[in-house]
Order: sequence, then C-alpha cells, then structure tokens
Amino acid sequence: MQEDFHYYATYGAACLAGYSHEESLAICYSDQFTDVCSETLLKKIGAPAEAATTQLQLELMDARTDLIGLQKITRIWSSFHFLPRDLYAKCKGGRRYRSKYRLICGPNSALLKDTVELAKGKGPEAAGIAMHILSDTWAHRYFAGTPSYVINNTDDHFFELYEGDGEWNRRAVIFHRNVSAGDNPKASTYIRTIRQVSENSIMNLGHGRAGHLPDYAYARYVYMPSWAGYREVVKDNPKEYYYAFCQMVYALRYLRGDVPEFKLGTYDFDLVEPYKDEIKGILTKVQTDASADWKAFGEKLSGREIPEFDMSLYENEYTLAAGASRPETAPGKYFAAANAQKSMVTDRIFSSGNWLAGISRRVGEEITRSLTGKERGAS
Amino acid sequence: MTKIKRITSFLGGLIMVLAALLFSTDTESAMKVISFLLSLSLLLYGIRMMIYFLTMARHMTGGLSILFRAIIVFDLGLFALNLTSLPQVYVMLYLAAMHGFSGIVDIMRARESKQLDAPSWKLSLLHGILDVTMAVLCVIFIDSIRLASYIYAAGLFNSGVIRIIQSFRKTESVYVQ
Repeated sequence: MQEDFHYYATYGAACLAGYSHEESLAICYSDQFTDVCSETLLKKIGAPAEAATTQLQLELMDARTDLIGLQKITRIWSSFHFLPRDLYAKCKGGRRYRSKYRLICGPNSALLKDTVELAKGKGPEAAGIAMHILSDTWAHRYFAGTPSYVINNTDDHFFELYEGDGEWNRRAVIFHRNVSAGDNPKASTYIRTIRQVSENSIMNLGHGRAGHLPDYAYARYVYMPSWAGYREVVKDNPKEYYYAFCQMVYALRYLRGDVPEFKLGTYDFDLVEPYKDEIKGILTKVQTDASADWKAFGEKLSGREIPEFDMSLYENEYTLAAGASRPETAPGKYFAAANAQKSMVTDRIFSSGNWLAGISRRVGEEITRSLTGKERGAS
Repeated sequence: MTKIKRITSFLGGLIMVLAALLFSTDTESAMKVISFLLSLSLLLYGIRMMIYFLTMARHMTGGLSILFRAIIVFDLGLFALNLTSLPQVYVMLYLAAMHGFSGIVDIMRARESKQLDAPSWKLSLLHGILDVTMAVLCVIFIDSIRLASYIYAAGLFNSGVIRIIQSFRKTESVYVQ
C-alpha cells in the first residue's frame, strides 16, 4: 500500500472509529511514517537505529545477505510490512524451505491479534503502526518479508483481470525495468525487479517481482506464485482493500476502548455501510495514486483539512526536544512502539523454530541467564 | 561476526592480497591459475545450483529450470577443466564483464547516495570509475596476457583488502530491543 491508503484512508478510518481530527492525524501520520522510518533517517536525528521500520533502496543495495544481514532484513519487513500468516504452516520441503514458506504474509493471523493488542493503550503512534501492519497484510498477502526466490518470484504467467461485456477478461501483464517510463495501467505495463536466480538476492524481497501491483487498490490480477505448486491465485485488490478498511475501523474502535476484545475475521461493515459506494468508487478507479480521492473523503468526514504528509514533523520534534524528554515526544513514543512490535514478532518467529529473524531480547536474555546462572541487565 | 569468522575472513583476505602480489609478478603462471579458477568456479557453481534445486527450488513453480541451468553450468565447468588452456579471449571477456557490471552498479549506487546526501557517494563513484576503466582496458587489450593478470591481481587485491577491513568491523547485535 502507498501513502494514499496509509495516510489518507487511515485518517478516514480513524474518523469513522470515533477519533477526533487531531487524533486521526496522529494515527495516520504514524501509519505513513512506517514507510519512511529508515536507519539512515534515525541516525541522522540521533534516534535508536534498531527502531527502523523500513529500508531505503540504498540500504538494501548495501545490505549483506549472510545470516545476520538476512535476519536484519527479515525483522524489518516481516514485522511491519509482511506479517506472517502462519508460523507453523505445514508444507513440503526441508527446514530451510519451510522457514521461508512460513513467513508468507496474509491477513487475520494470530500475529495480527498480537500486534493490535500490543498497541492497546500506547497512544496514536502505536495505533498507527498497527494500522500500517494490518492494512499491509491484505495488500501484501502471498509474499514474504524476506528475500526468497523460491517464495517471492513470479514468472510471465501474470494477467490483469478487467470487466468487459459482462464477464471477466484477462490481459497479459508486461513487466519492464524502465523506471522513467513508470507504470501504465491502461497498457498493463509495470516495473518490477530484475530476475535474480539467487535465493537471497535483495531483488527477491517481498513483492518486488510483482512490481507495485499489490499496492494498487484497483488491481485485479491472476498469477502463479512460486510457492503454490503451479496453482493460479486470484488477487482482488478492491475487495481486499475494502476488507482492510473495515477491519481498520474495527481495530481502531478496539484501541479506543469501544470494543472489549479484538477478534480476528471481524469487520465494521455496518459502520462503513453508508460510505460503501463512495469507498468502492475510490478503490476501483484505475489510478496509481488515489490520495486526492481519499483526502476528499476524509475531509468530508471530519470537515477539517488534512495537511500533506510532512516527513520532517517527527524529525523536527525529536531533534528540538531536550535529551531526557525525547522519549515523551510523539516520535519518541513511535520509536518505542516500533521496537516493541519488532521484538514481539521476532520473538514469535524465533519461538516457532525459525532463525530467519534472529533472536529476540527475551530469548537472548533467557539464554544468557541459563549460561551464566544469574540475572543480567539490559544490553 | 563470530571470532572464528573474523579470523577466517582476515586470513582469507591476507591470502588474496598475497596471491594478487604473486600474480602481478609472475604473469605466465597467473594466466594458468586464472583459467583453472574460472573453470573450477563454474563447476562449483553448478554443484551449488544442484543442491539448491534439491533442497528448495524443486518445490517452486518453474523450479525445474534451475536443474537444467545447473546441469549446463556443471557441464561447462567440466569441459573447461579438461581443456589444456582456456582461450585467453574468454578470460579477458570474463574480466571485462565482471568489472564492467560491478562498476556500473557502483556508479548507480553513488548517484543514489548523492541524491540522499549520504557521504559515501564519492568512494562509490571512485570504485565505479576504477572498475569501468578496468573493463574498458580488458576490451582494448584483449590479447595481452600481462594486462589480464594485472587486472585480475588488482581485483583480487581489492577484495582481499575489503575482507581484511570487514574482519575488524564492529558486529551488529542480533538482539532487538
């Protein structure tokens, strides 16, 4: 998903969930910040680098793909953009294949419940992070947040679905690598990463091999994922994005205290019903950036203007704050929430017997205790 | 990086630097060693791909192409090993392609670093220009054994020094706070 959904649509969802204009802005800002909070940015403002929620292209190009490098990549991308669907999924293949297969992203996982519950009572910054993760589970389903050729590769059997003469037709997607030409939905031509027959190549991270198609709300497509054993998979983004929106409203109501328990597979369809046609209109409109439409929708809901996303807001607030008061600032709370989320997901992945995300602090301390036989302080 | 990895990385780097110095002084034997290493690397790459197919790629859609690729590469490696001497033009083309690709990637990286105001762009640009220059030299002097060994030695020297530096690099913590 992109800024249109992570920022403007999240604002709308927060308004519908009952948050004020200011609270909704804080939530959607934090949601969108998850796509820009890189280690480079954190180092620049003197914030803890381990709070990074994304990696820049440059950082990825320099990233090592040995075990430690892979673990760092997996921690970031699995925790914030490709939350694993089932860490104990059964599949063919040995341990190495299974470790990757189990990181395939999907909605309504046990990890999603943990994510939303973790954000409860921690303010709009944590809520924004949780909403980012929740909505990405719908957009990024079928891809894993770790470099993997055998999981994330796609081949030329890739078709866009479009409605014509009352039925669904297929049009072959043409992938290219001409960045200046960009994506052209009318001609079904899209950019994607270079094919690298190397398991851990950074080109095989997430949905890079399917280009930006998973991030476009209007896209309906059919393809054969590498992991699916020659079976076709249909991805209906308008429908799934609608589910994502309704689930966000429900999750935000839980975080606000209006709903006692966050249940998986539950959506606030009733609350969104009056706006269903309008939302579906935005979701099905063929455009690579729906910001203007979502902005208008959000502003109609609150009657207030939504400012453009300004990356420097957190930067300025954090750098201008005195050292001791930094944790109490909005970015300080964001970094704490990001760390907590990363630690929780890493812990769950490690506890499932999968080493691809590394060792969480909890497990690391347990190991240290068992080795030394005494309590150790935080490292 | 564990202590053992640090030691092996340091020793590996040292051996590469020493080999680079040797190659730049003895061009005749350098050519033979380069040819042998090229053939051996093809063979090992083929074996690695076969293992990859057996352990992972056989489960994926289109994974059989990896097996075909592995067989072809392995076969090429065997063929090259059995030749008494690899035609020099292939060695030069290999060196040109290797340095050319690496140079272009470094220049692109420098460009992106500059756009993001990252300080590392000058070093990347320098590496890129050096690599592209070496690639161009390989193509211009495609008949020169001496140049081939010098270029190979330079590449080896560079990799060796980087490995030695990396062995002293601070280790990242695997913990998430």
